[in-house]
Amino acid sequence: MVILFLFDFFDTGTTVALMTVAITLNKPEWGGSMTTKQLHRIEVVNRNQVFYCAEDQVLLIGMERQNINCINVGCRGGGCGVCKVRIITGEYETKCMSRAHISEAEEKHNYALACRVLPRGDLLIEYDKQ
Amino acid sequence: MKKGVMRPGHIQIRVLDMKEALEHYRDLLGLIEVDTDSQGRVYLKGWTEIDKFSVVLRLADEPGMDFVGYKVLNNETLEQLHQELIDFGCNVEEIPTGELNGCGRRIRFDSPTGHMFEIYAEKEQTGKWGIADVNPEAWPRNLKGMKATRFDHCLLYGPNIAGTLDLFQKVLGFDIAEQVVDDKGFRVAQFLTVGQKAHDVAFIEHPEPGKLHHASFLLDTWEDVLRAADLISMEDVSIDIGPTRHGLTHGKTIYFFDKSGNRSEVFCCGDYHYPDHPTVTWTADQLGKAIFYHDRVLNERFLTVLT
Repeated sequence: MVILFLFDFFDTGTTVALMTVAITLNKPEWGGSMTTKQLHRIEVVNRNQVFYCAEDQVLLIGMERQNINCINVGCRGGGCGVCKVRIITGEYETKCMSRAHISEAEEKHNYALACRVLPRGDLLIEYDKQ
Repeated sequence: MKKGVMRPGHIQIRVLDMKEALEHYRDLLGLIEVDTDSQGRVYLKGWTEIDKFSVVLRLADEPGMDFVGYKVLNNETLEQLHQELIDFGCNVEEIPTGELNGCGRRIRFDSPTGHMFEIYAEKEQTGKWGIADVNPEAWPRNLKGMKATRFDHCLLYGPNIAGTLDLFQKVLGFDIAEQVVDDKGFRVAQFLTVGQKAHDVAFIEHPEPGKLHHASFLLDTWEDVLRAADLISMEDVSIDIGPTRHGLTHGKTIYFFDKSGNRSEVFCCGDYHYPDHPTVTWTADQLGKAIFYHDRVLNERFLTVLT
């Protein structure tokens, strides 16, 4: 938990290095109570930003926890549409999202609300809002 | 002029997941779950409310608000206002008794801001929850979460709030207790009351019709607002802003989101309004202070995130 807190104070390069430490520390043989979590690299291509997100964490929360703000944060509940992104490459799952903001057609074309996306691999995404 | 509308009576809120919604409205806010109907809608109320329910949750694929209902004095008032709503030019629909469990006939109408409202005269009265009607104790012991006492008001966004003010003043007898006016004299926000509260409903000018900014629930004290903030952190609930105080209405408040993205407020205290009181005005150049009295800075999310 301490290490995750420190992420706030370092740039992306340092974050990557620290993340490696975090993953190492999280290994069960270290005897800690923390569970092993697969961290995925999330690159917001049109913002030149990278953050890391655990399998059980939605993208927007992963981003916020690392003090990165390349995607606007709204309700965090799939309702307001502020964090609408397009996933360019990578595997992911989504929790339910407002049809007012993600139509069935958009969902098929890999649009999603970042607050409802669980990464299942490294992702390249883009975010268009100002 | 009073027209026989008494108070906000209910709001029907759309949610994406009923289990998560109940964790929010029942377990976190502390509303009492009172019924489920044949459509799967779940009914809740604040423990101090006399009528059977004040919040109805409906499973849907987009969040937001279906309608807000106001209770009127009696069926004569209901009939009178029914005709006046038609004469005003509203699209009016009659909803039969029992469409909501325990609620009498409702008259539903639209507004220039694109919201659906309704009035009704009768709802089953089950009394305050957990305490007796006679020789009542101060409060019930087994309340959950924030222990919200009642559904208090909502803030709605839509176009032509001037038109909606006209409807609420002329037909329904609301007063405008507070307002925000820009440098050209254009009203951008209005806080309307039908009793002595600072607001029973509020509107902010916005191009999209029919939007919900928040549904608000009353707490007793500032300490309760701080305790609500603690619970929001303990439960890792999506926070919006607060605890803080508003300039408008001077309520002490915190905002957060349900798991479908609908914003909730719990608040305490604030101003009061009598029919002879002049409207309190805030100028748009002081909007930061009007909304967040301590920070005095506008917050993009608070102003623009809606369902």
